[in-house]
Amino acid sequence: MSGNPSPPLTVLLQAWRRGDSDAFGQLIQRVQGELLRMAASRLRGVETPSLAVGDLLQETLVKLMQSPPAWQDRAHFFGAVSMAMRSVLVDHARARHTDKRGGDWQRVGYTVSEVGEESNIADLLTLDALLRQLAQVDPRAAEILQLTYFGGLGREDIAAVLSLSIATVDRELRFARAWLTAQLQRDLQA
Amino acid sequence: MTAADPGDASVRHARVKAFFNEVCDLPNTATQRAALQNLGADSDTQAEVLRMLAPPPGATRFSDAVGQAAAQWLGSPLRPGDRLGSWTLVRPLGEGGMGRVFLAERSDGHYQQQAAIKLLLGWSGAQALERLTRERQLLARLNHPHIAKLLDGGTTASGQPYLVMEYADGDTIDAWCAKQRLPLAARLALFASVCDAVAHAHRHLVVHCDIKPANVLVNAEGRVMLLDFGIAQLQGQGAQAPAGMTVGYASPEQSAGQPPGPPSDIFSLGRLLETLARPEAASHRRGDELAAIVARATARAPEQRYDSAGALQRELQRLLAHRPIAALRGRRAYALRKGLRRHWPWALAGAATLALTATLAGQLMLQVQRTRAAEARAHEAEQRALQPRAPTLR
Repeated sequence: MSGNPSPPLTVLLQAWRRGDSDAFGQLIQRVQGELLRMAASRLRGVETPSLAVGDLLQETLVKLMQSPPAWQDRAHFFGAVSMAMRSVLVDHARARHTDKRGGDWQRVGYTVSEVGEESNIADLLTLDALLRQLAQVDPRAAEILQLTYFGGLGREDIAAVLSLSIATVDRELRFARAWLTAQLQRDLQA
Repeated sequence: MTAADPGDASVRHARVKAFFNEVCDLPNTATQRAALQNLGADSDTQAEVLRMLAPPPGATRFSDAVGQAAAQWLGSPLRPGDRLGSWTLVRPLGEGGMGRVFLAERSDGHYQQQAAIKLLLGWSGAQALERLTRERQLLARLNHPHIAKLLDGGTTASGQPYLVMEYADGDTIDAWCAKQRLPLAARLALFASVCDAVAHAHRHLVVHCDIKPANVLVNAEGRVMLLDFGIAQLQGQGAQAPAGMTVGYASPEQSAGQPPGPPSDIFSLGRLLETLARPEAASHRRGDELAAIVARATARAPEQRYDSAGALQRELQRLLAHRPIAALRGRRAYALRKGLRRHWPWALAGAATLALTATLAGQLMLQVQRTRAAEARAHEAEQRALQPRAPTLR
């Protein structure tokens, strides 16, 4: 049954690293297809899709990464795919936001409460912007946040993938989350 | 706190982080503040660290946002009764609990029409949708009695594009042939319709990319319908595996991940021919010739295959008319045998009354040479004919 004619993931990843944007598209289609299949088997007969997308992502990526290669490749793989998820979701959210508002998004601080989809879109775009900001001063913390939010990885997986101790990951996460919160409060006061 | 120099910002960030990690496990704000003072943090840093240590009001906020976005991106599952444009979904067709293909009915009340609605993966962003629109226009130009027509298209509420295709109901071509116990000639006639449809698409610069029995249906009246032209490309092959292409039908270049072109379709046609003819051809007089045709259509190197679906179709016509086939061209003994078979009443009569004289042999040779010259002219014409080599659907 394995009639998959598209190239192996490692080939796609290498091509993407060389700047091949088709490879990126294929990578995303692959992840999306796998996510849909897993979601389908998980949600069969359920009315609304569960929002445990983090779990879904994590399982999907692990499944896509079936033959476990070197840890270095694993780090690269999870880094690449979480980055890919991030850019696809941000693009998608931005397009939807433009559809709804016909303009640029506004960063939203903590107490500004909008309901539903629009606030989610704003949150996602805010998260993306803050991650970019954090990456400039603290790349490791930014990477750990990205793996958490867009790779669906838990603390133990992150420790394994980045070859860090779990205690270090915990410390980084605690700080990075506190940093995010502080930034949001600052935006609100500004 | 807002340093213009990014180097400054990094140093400041590292300092805040170091103090944060020193005091974050202390039980309350008072002890944290005292510790920061003891450690010699300046007042800005103290304020920053203490602000960060305040309990986060909504820790799950961002994971919720990412989860919602991912759910949006994946698309909410559609159900029978949902409407897409002027179509109402009737029931899921084919695989998957997510129902990526639906039977639909026109719901604008004008006239009754059924269609298959296919949801496409991997198209997000304005640029991608623009490209999809162009591809759709290309597909919409296909107009052939054996090609399921692209009727319509659009985007779901969650931003997922879909295509509306002419709905074809029937058996897959291999199942139909088996059920009807069709003789070889009838199977080849069905196959010729498929070749005709593929040739039409190639002339319009559309490559199918996923020709296999499941995509070739025969309805109750015996009419062949080719489904999903160009859709494999639009769906992204990765996204639909393993429900997608069967190993044997994908050309070597496709399996290697290269962009498929018309020769890939010729390869898949060769495999389809093999599947259809196999049960009949094994015991058949023309089994060897059929095998040679399949071998040429499925040659590993694309340039060694038939130049076009039309060339493959004409080859089968030659086979049925007992004329020499191109796949065995150049084998003198073979051509002679073919000549004899085609003119057997005449040859037989000659043999009965006379010994097979030099004259007769000479006549036969002349005939064979004429046939071969005609073949060569036909082949040249085929070579000259416009070949849609450029793969257009990437």
